[in-house]
Parts: sequence; C-alpha cells; structure tokens
Amino acid sequence: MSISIKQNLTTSILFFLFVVLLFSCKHYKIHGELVNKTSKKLVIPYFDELNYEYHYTAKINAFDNSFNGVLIVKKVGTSHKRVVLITDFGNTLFDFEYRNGERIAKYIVDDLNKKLILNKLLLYFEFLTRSEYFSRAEYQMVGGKLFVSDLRFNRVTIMQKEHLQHHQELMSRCKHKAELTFFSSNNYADSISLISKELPINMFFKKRTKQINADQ
Amino acid sequence: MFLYVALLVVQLNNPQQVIDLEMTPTEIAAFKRKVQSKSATIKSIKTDFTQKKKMEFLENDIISNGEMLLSAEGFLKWQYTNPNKYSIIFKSNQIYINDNGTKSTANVNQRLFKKISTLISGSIKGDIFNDAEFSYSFYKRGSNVVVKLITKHKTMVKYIKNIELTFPKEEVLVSEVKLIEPSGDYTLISFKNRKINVHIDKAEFNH
Repeated sequence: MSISIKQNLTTSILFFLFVVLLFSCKHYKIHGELVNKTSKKLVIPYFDELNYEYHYTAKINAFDNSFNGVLIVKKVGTSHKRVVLITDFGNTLFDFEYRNGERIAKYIVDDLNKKLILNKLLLYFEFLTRSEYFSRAEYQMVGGKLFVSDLRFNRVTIMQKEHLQHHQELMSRCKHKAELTFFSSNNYADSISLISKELPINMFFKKRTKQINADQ
Repeated sequence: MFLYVALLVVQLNNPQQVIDLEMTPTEIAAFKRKVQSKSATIKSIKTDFTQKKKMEFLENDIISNGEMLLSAEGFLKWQYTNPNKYSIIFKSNQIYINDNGTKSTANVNQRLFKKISTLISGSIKGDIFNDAEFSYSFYKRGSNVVVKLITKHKTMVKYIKNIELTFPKEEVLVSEVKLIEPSGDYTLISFKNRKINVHIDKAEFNH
C-alpha cells in the first residue's frame, strides 16, 4: 500500500516537473514564411579571409568591470582560427584556437580561468568569429532572410538584412543566450556588438586602424 | 677555446645577431652609480612612445603611439593618441582612466601596468635596482646596456617571463622596455623625443 502511494507520488512529482519545464520554456517562434527546409551552407564573410589579420578595438563591460583592449582574429587555415584578446597595454588576456570543430584555450589569464567563464568565453567568441554554418531552415522575413542553424547544441538564427547590418542570435532550447550584430559596408565589419542575454556582459568592437611598422 | 670558436661560428652565421655579454660586478656597480647620480637631477620628463605587440602567429605588429609625462611630484600619465585616444594617470596611488572622454577609475586589469609604470618611473629616479620583487642581471648589447628583470612574484610570473630595459650608451634613461610573456610573445615600448626637466602643467594630471 505504502509502496503504491510512493510510486504515485513520484509519478506525480515527475509529471509536475515535466509540465513546469515545458511551460517555463519560452519557445522562440519565427514570424516569417518558411521557404526552404533543405540544408544549405552559409558563409558569414566578416572573419573569413584566409591569413587576413582582423584588428578591433574592444570595449567590454562584464559584471561591474569594464576594460579596453584589442581583439585580433586570424583565419590561419580553412577550418582554423586564432582569436586573441589583449589589453591596451599589450598583455594577453586569452588566446583561443578553433580548429576543425575543436576549441582550445591556448592561454587565459588566471582571473578569467574559471570553468564557467572560460566556457562562456569560448562559446561567445566562437559565435562571434565563426564563418560557416549549415542552415536547416530558411525563412523570408520583412527586410531580409533568416536562416536557422546550430552551434554546439544551441540554436543560431542568422538574419541577413538588405541594409548594412547582419544580425545573429544564439539560444538554447529555453534560453536566449546572446545577440550579435555586425555593422558593415563590406566584408570587414566597421563595428560589432555582442550582448549576452544570460550574463551582464556587453562587448563592442570597432575596426582598428592598422599602424605601419617602420621596422618592417 | 671551444666556447670562443662556437661564439665565432654563431656570429659568422648571423652577422646581424647581437650577443649579450654579461657585465662584471665592477661594471654593474659603476653603471648603477651613474644611473643613480645622474638621474637625481631629473625632475620631470616628457616623451613620445611607440608600443608594439608582437605575436608569433601575426605578420603585423599591433602598434599604438602616444606620449608619456612624469611630473616632479611623481605623477605619471600615459596618453595613447593613435589609433585611439586613451589616457591613464597614476597619481597618489590612484589610477584614473579617460577613454576618449569617458572617465573611470582603474580595475584589476591595470595592476600589471601599474607595476610596469613603477619600473619606468623608477628607472628615471634611479631606484629601479632596489625592487626586491625582481632579480636583476646586467648585459652589454653592442653599445647599449640591457638590464633583465625576472619577477619573483608568483602571480606576475604567469603574465611576464621577464622584462628587458635598454639603456643607450652613456645614457641613464631607459629607451626601450620589452615585456616578454611566457609564450615568447612580447610588447616593446620605445621612447623618443625625450625632454628632460621641462615644465609640465599640473592640469595634465587632472581627471
């Protein structure tokens, strides 16, 4: 008798948790016309030129701290990128490598070397610099096309607008994680914003004028 | 003899390579005396600088230019002018930042730079060789004197493998500061157009 009550109670709790989980999840509906459901390769052009060195002035506000620095991105191979953030004074904060789907923190300063922070940084900077996606759906929207793809078990929506803006969103099943916007007139974005929707982190990047090295 | 031949071979193969020759204790003592006595007469300094970050995987250095001011009161201002306007003032143990008009105080990321600034201003004041946090070695590189510093600080050693200060021949002011990271990548700060004991308006250090 008591076993049966326990079983019923367990089943009820599990059902309750399932319902709570189901309805607490905000489902992101796309308000557009589905035009294509076949897989299609998408190339995001902003960090895609082989061996080109992209330099951006970075302004990052994280929790109650803010700092300035320089972001360097280089596509060193077909599926191989180096992403490095240094302070204005030159010291390296992190040096990430994305290679054939693998992501490696070659170096990260102790202050940032905490599992949660490191994983978030690896994800955000992969989202920022990734040039290639395979879309699983394409929608026609007002003002542009929207593609749905994936990045490490997260859904990515890629909005290609007709104007000088390119917008991407990163979300898990239930949570909106980050928003990424490129402002550009060509394949080297003038500025970029990456706003976390899960943590108090905002990042702004502005194209940096390269200085000529007199020694070279 | 073997060492001499080996050095000769290295030099013949790399005619551009300059070898660091360790200074003798007598030379070191004389050099320290010269720096300390001459720098006692220096009250203020104004200089332009170029900062280059060199990374193994990059073909182009990351370069910034600016101006450095050191007042008689010991206030220090680093002002980047190119490609971005950004200044940082070290005054009475406080760090003030002006990012193109947006003002703030320092956060943890400036801790290392504060140490570097202390080293540079220390080299001007002549008390650079008395910091117990570092071990020092002295070399002659061509006509220059190069002082290599290795930090003993457990945290700092993770960021900086060693620091090299270059003193040109017969000069007591640092002309180059090289900060070498554990990976071998480095930042080189070169000073030029140095003006000694010029009047520096106190307003330069207002925040």
